[in-house]
Amino acid sequence: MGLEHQTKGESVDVFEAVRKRRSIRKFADRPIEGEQLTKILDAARWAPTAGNQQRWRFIVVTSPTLKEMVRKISPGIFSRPAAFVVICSLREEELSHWDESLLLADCAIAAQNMLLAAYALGLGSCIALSFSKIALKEILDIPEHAEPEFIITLGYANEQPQPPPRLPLEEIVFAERYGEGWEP
Amino acid sequence: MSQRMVLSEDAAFELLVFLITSARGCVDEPKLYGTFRLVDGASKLIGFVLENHPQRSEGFLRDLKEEIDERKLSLMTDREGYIEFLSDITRKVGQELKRRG
Repeated sequence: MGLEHQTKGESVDVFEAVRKRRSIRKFADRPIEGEQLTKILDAARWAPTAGNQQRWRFIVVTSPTLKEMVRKISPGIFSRPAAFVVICSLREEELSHWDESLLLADCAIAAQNMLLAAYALGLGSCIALSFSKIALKEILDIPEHAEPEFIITLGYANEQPQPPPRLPLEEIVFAERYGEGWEP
Repeated sequence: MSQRMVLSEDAAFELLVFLITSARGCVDEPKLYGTFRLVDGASKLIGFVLENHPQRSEGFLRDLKEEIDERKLSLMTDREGYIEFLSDITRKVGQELKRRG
Protein backbone atom coordinates (compact mmCIF):
# COMPACT_ATOMS: atom_id res chain seq x y z
CA MET A 1 0.00 0.00 0.00
CA GLY A 2 2.46 2.66 -1.18
CA LEU A 3 1.53 6.29 -1.45
CA GLU A 4 0.20 7.44 -4.80
CA HIS A 5 2.84 10.03 -5.63
CA GLN A 6 5.61 7.58 -4.83
CA THR A 7 4.32 4.90 -7.17
CA LYS A 8 4.21 7.54 -9.91
CA GLY A 9 7.74 8.70 -9.08
CA GLU A 10 6.62 12.31 -8.65
CA SER A 11 8.15 14.87 -6.33
CA VAL A 12 5.97 16.25 -3.58
CA ASP A 13 4.97 19.81 -2.88
CA VAL A 14 5.72 20.78 0.70
CA PHE A 15 2.12 21.89 1.33
CA GLU A 16 0.88 18.54 0.09
CA ALA A 17 3.28 16.73 2.40
CA VAL A 18 2.16 18.84 5.35
CA ARG A 19 -1.53 18.21 4.67
CA LYS A 20 -1.47 14.59 3.56
CA ARG A 21 1.04 13.08 5.94
CA ARG A 22 -0.71 10.81 8.39
CA SER A 23 0.53 8.98 11.46
CA ILE A 24 0.96 5.42 10.29
CA ARG A 25 0.62 2.70 12.90
CA LYS A 26 0.38 -0.37 10.67
CA PHE A 27 3.32 -1.24 8.47
CA ALA A 28 3.87 -3.72 5.67
CA ASP A 29 6.51 -6.39 6.15
CA ARG A 30 8.84 -4.77 3.66
CA PRO A 31 12.30 -3.29 4.21
CA ILE A 32 13.26 0.24 3.27
CA GLU A 33 16.45 1.13 1.46
CA GLY A 34 19.55 2.64 2.96
CA GLU A 35 19.31 5.52 0.51
CA GLN A 36 15.84 6.37 1.79
CA LEU A 37 17.07 6.35 5.37
CA THR A 38 19.98 8.58 4.43
CA LYS A 39 17.62 11.13 2.84
CA ILE A 40 15.37 11.12 5.88
CA LEU A 41 18.30 11.57 8.27
CA ASP A 42 19.72 14.33 6.10
CA ALA A 43 16.37 16.11 6.33
CA ALA A 44 16.73 15.92 10.11
CA ARG A 45 20.28 17.23 9.92
CA TRP A 46 19.07 20.35 8.08
CA ALA A 47 16.45 21.18 10.67
CA PRO A 48 17.02 24.47 12.47
CA THR A 49 18.41 24.30 16.00
CA ALA A 50 18.77 26.95 18.68
CA GLY A 51 22.07 28.75 18.15
CA ASN A 52 22.92 26.10 15.54
CA GLN A 53 24.03 23.91 18.42
CA GLN A 54 22.80 20.67 16.81
CA ARG A 55 22.49 18.96 20.17
CA TRP A 56 20.73 15.92 18.81
CA ARG A 57 21.91 12.48 17.86
CA PHE A 58 20.01 9.86 15.88
CA ILE A 59 20.15 6.10 16.38
CA VAL A 60 18.94 4.08 13.41
CA VAL A 61 17.63 0.66 14.41
CA THR A 62 17.07 -1.88 11.64
CA SER A 63 18.42 -5.10 13.18
CA PRO A 64 15.44 -7.46 13.64
CA THR A 65 16.57 -8.44 17.13
CA LEU A 66 16.96 -4.89 18.37
CA LYS A 67 13.75 -3.77 16.65
CA GLU A 68 11.82 -6.44 18.53
CA MET A 69 13.33 -5.29 21.80
CA VAL A 70 12.49 -1.66 21.06
CA ARG A 71 8.93 -2.60 20.11
CA LYS A 72 8.44 -4.58 23.28
CA ILE A 73 9.46 -1.73 25.58
CA SER A 74 7.33 0.76 23.63
CA PRO A 75 3.68 0.44 24.63
CA GLY A 76 2.80 3.17 22.11
CA ILE A 77 4.12 1.27 19.10
CA PHE A 78 1.59 -1.20 17.74
CA SER A 79 3.19 -2.60 14.64
CA ARG A 80 6.54 -3.72 13.27
CA PRO A 81 8.07 -0.92 11.20
CA ALA A 82 11.05 -1.41 8.89
CA ALA A 83 13.17 0.94 10.97
CA PHE A 84 13.19 3.01 14.11
CA VAL A 85 15.08 6.25 14.48
CA VAL A 86 15.62 7.27 18.07
CA ILE A 87 16.15 11.00 18.46
CA CYS A 88 18.32 11.79 21.46
CA SER A 89 19.07 15.18 22.96
CA LEU A 90 22.54 15.84 24.32
CA ARG A 91 22.62 16.96 27.93
CA GLU A 92 26.25 17.27 28.81
CA GLU A 93 25.68 19.82 31.52
CA GLU A 94 22.97 20.83 33.95
CA LEU A 95 20.16 22.34 31.90
CA SER A 96 18.03 25.32 32.73
CA HIS A 97 14.29 25.22 32.02
CA TRP A 98 15.07 27.40 28.99
CA ASP A 99 17.59 24.90 27.69
CA GLU A 100 15.18 22.03 28.26
CA SER A 101 12.58 23.76 26.11
CA LEU A 102 15.08 24.51 23.37
CA LEU A 103 16.36 20.95 23.26
CA LEU A 104 12.90 19.50 23.03
CA ALA A 105 11.93 21.99 20.32
CA ASP A 106 15.07 21.16 18.33
CA CYS A 107 14.32 17.44 18.49
CA ALA A 108 10.68 18.02 17.55
CA ILE A 109 11.61 20.12 14.52
CA ALA A 110 14.05 17.45 13.35
CA ALA A 111 11.31 14.87 13.85
CA GLN A 112 8.87 16.81 11.69
CA ASN A 113 11.47 17.13 8.92
CA MET A 114 11.86 13.35 9.05
CA LEU A 115 8.12 12.73 8.87
CA LEU A 116 7.76 15.01 5.85
CA ALA A 117 10.80 13.50 4.14
CA ALA A 118 9.39 10.03 4.73
CA TYR A 119 6.10 11.08 3.17
CA ALA A 120 7.94 12.51 0.15
CA LEU A 121 9.67 9.17 -0.28
CA GLY A 122 6.39 7.27 -0.14
CA LEU A 123 6.98 5.93 3.35
CA GLY A 124 4.73 5.92 6.36
CA SER A 125 5.94 7.18 9.70
CA CYS A 126 4.83 8.03 13.18
CA ILE A 127 6.37 9.88 16.08
CA ALA A 128 6.20 7.91 19.31
CA LEU A 129 6.68 9.13 22.84
CA SER A 130 5.20 6.18 24.68
CA PHE A 131 8.30 4.12 25.21
CA SER A 132 10.40 3.36 28.23
CA LYS A 133 13.39 5.69 28.21
CA ILE A 134 14.98 3.72 31.00
CA ALA A 135 14.74 0.39 29.17
CA LEU A 136 15.69 1.93 25.82
CA LYS A 137 18.89 3.35 27.28
CA GLU A 138 19.83 -0.12 28.46
CA ILE A 139 19.00 -1.84 25.18
CA LEU A 140 20.76 0.65 22.88
CA ASP A 141 23.67 1.53 25.19
CA ILE A 142 22.66 5.18 25.26
CA PRO A 143 25.09 7.09 27.50
CA GLU A 144 24.03 9.06 30.53
CA HIS A 145 24.42 12.44 28.81
CA ALA A 146 22.04 11.54 25.95
CA GLU A 147 18.28 11.41 26.48
CA PRO A 148 15.98 9.62 24.06
CA GLU A 149 13.16 12.08 23.32
CA PHE A 150 11.25 10.51 20.44
CA ILE A 151 11.18 7.35 18.39
CA ILE A 152 10.30 7.72 14.73
CA THR A 153 8.82 4.61 13.13
CA LEU A 154 9.41 4.20 9.41
CA GLY A 155 8.17 1.76 6.81
CA TYR A 156 5.71 1.14 4.04
CA ALA A 157 2.19 1.91 5.20
CA ASN A 158 -0.30 -0.89 5.57
CA GLU A 159 -3.22 1.43 6.24
CA GLN A 160 -4.62 4.68 4.92
CA PRO A 161 -5.96 6.56 7.91
CA GLN A 162 -8.47 9.33 7.40
CA PRO A 163 -7.31 12.78 8.44
CA PRO A 164 -8.29 13.59 12.01
CA PRO A 165 -10.38 16.72 12.55
CA ARG A 166 -8.54 20.02 12.75
CA LEU A 167 -9.79 23.19 14.36
CA PRO A 168 -10.62 25.90 11.82
CA LEU A 169 -8.13 28.73 11.37
CA GLU A 170 -10.71 31.22 12.69
CA GLU A 171 -10.61 29.43 16.02
CA ILE A 172 -6.87 29.25 16.46
CA VAL A 173 -5.55 32.37 14.75
CA PHE A 174 -5.94 35.87 16.14
CA ALA A 175 -5.24 39.18 14.49
CA GLU A 176 -2.76 41.47 16.24
CA ARG A 177 -4.00 40.68 19.76
CA TYR A 178 -5.03 37.47 21.49
CA GLY A 179 -8.71 36.78 21.03
CA GLU A 180 -9.28 39.23 18.16
CA GLY A 181 -10.88 37.74 15.09
CA TRP A 182 -8.63 36.99 12.15
CA GLU A 183 -9.51 36.91 8.49
CA PRO A 184 -7.20 36.03 5.64
CA MET B 1 -14.89 -23.66 30.23
CA SER B 2 -12.15 -24.21 32.80
CA GLN B 3 -9.66 -25.80 30.41
CA ARG B 4 -6.06 -24.87 31.04
CA MET B 5 -4.86 -22.17 28.64
CA VAL B 6 -1.13 -21.60 28.52
CA LEU B 7 1.22 -18.88 27.41
CA SER B 8 4.69 -19.58 26.09
CA GLU B 9 7.50 -18.19 28.23
CA ASP B 10 8.36 -15.72 25.44
CA ALA B 11 4.78 -14.48 25.27
CA ALA B 12 4.51 -14.22 29.04
CA PHE B 13 7.76 -12.27 29.16
CA GLU B 14 6.65 -9.92 26.38
CA LEU B 15 3.45 -9.24 28.29
CA LEU B 16 5.42 -8.69 31.48
CA VAL B 17 7.69 -6.17 29.72
CA PHE B 18 4.62 -4.41 28.33
CA LEU B 19 2.97 -4.20 31.76
CA ILE B 20 6.05 -2.91 33.55
CA THR B 21 7.06 -0.34 30.92
CA SER B 22 3.42 0.76 30.76
CA ALA B 23 3.33 1.16 34.53
CA ARG B 24 6.29 3.53 34.41
CA GLY B 25 4.82 5.34 31.42
CA CYS B 26 1.56 5.93 33.27
CA VAL B 27 3.38 8.16 35.75
CA ASP B 28 3.93 10.79 33.05
CA GLU B 29 1.39 10.07 30.33
CA PRO B 30 -2.16 11.42 30.11
CA LYS B 31 -4.63 9.65 32.37
CA LEU B 32 -6.59 8.04 29.55
CA TYR B 33 -3.45 6.40 28.21
CA GLY B 34 -3.48 4.17 31.30
CA THR B 35 -6.87 2.83 30.27
CA PHE B 36 -5.51 2.29 26.79
CA ARG B 37 -2.59 0.24 28.10
CA LEU B 38 -4.98 -1.94 30.07
CA VAL B 39 -7.20 -2.79 27.13
CA ASP B 40 -4.21 -3.12 24.80
CA GLY B 41 -2.67 -5.51 27.34
CA ALA B 42 -5.94 -7.45 27.39
CA SER B 43 -5.79 -7.74 23.61
CA LYS B 44 -2.19 -8.95 23.76
CA LEU B 45 -3.10 -11.53 26.39
CA ILE B 46 -5.95 -12.89 24.27
CA GLY B 47 -3.68 -12.91 21.22
CA PHE B 48 -1.00 -14.92 22.98
CA VAL B 49 -3.51 -17.37 24.40
CA LEU B 50 -5.18 -17.95 21.04
CA GLU B 51 -1.77 -18.34 19.36
CA ASN B 52 -1.27 -21.44 21.49
CA HIS B 53 -4.78 -22.71 21.00
CA PRO B 54 -5.56 -22.14 17.33
CA GLN B 55 -7.95 -25.07 17.40
CA ARG B 56 -10.15 -23.42 19.98
CA SER B 57 -13.15 -21.65 18.63
CA GLU B 58 -13.44 -19.38 21.62
CA GLY B 59 -15.80 -16.88 20.08
CA PHE B 60 -15.99 -14.48 22.97
CA LEU B 61 -12.25 -13.94 23.37
CA ARG B 62 -11.66 -13.73 19.64
CA ASP B 63 -14.48 -11.22 19.19
CA LEU B 64 -13.31 -9.20 22.17
CA LYS B 65 -9.79 -8.95 20.78
CA GLU B 66 -11.11 -7.94 17.38
CA GLU B 67 -13.26 -5.24 18.91
CA ILE B 68 -10.41 -3.89 21.03
CA ASP B 69 -8.01 -3.78 18.09
CA GLU B 70 -10.58 -2.16 15.86
CA ARG B 71 -11.73 0.54 18.27
CA LYS B 72 -8.82 1.22 20.65
CA LEU B 73 -7.19 3.89 18.48
CA SER B 74 -10.33 6.03 18.66
CA LEU B 75 -8.54 7.40 21.74
CA MET B 76 -6.48 9.52 19.36
CA THR B 77 -9.36 11.16 17.55
CA ASP B 78 -12.64 10.62 19.37
CA ARG B 79 -12.48 10.77 23.15
CA GLU B 80 -16.22 10.25 23.64
CA GLY B 81 -16.25 7.33 21.22
CA TYR B 82 -13.28 5.82 23.03
CA ILE B 83 -15.00 6.00 26.41
CA GLU B 84 -18.10 4.48 24.85
CA PHE B 85 -15.91 1.66 23.53
CA LEU B 86 -14.60 1.04 27.05
CA SER B 87 -18.17 0.95 28.34
CA ASP B 88 -19.21 -1.43 25.57
CA ILE B 89 -16.49 -3.98 26.23
CA THR B 90 -17.01 -3.71 29.98
CA ARG B 91 -20.68 -4.48 29.44
CA LYS B 92 -19.74 -7.44 27.26
CA VAL B 93 -17.34 -8.95 29.79
CA GLY B 94 -20.04 -8.49 32.45
CA GLN B 95 -22.53 -10.36 30.29
CA GLU B 96 -19.98 -13.09 29.58
CA LEU B 97 -19.16 -13.41 33.27
CA LYS B 98 -22.83 -13.85 34.00
CA ARG B 99 -23.22 -16.38 31.19
CA ARG B 100 -20.32 -18.43 32.49
CA GLY B 101 -21.90 -18.38 35.95
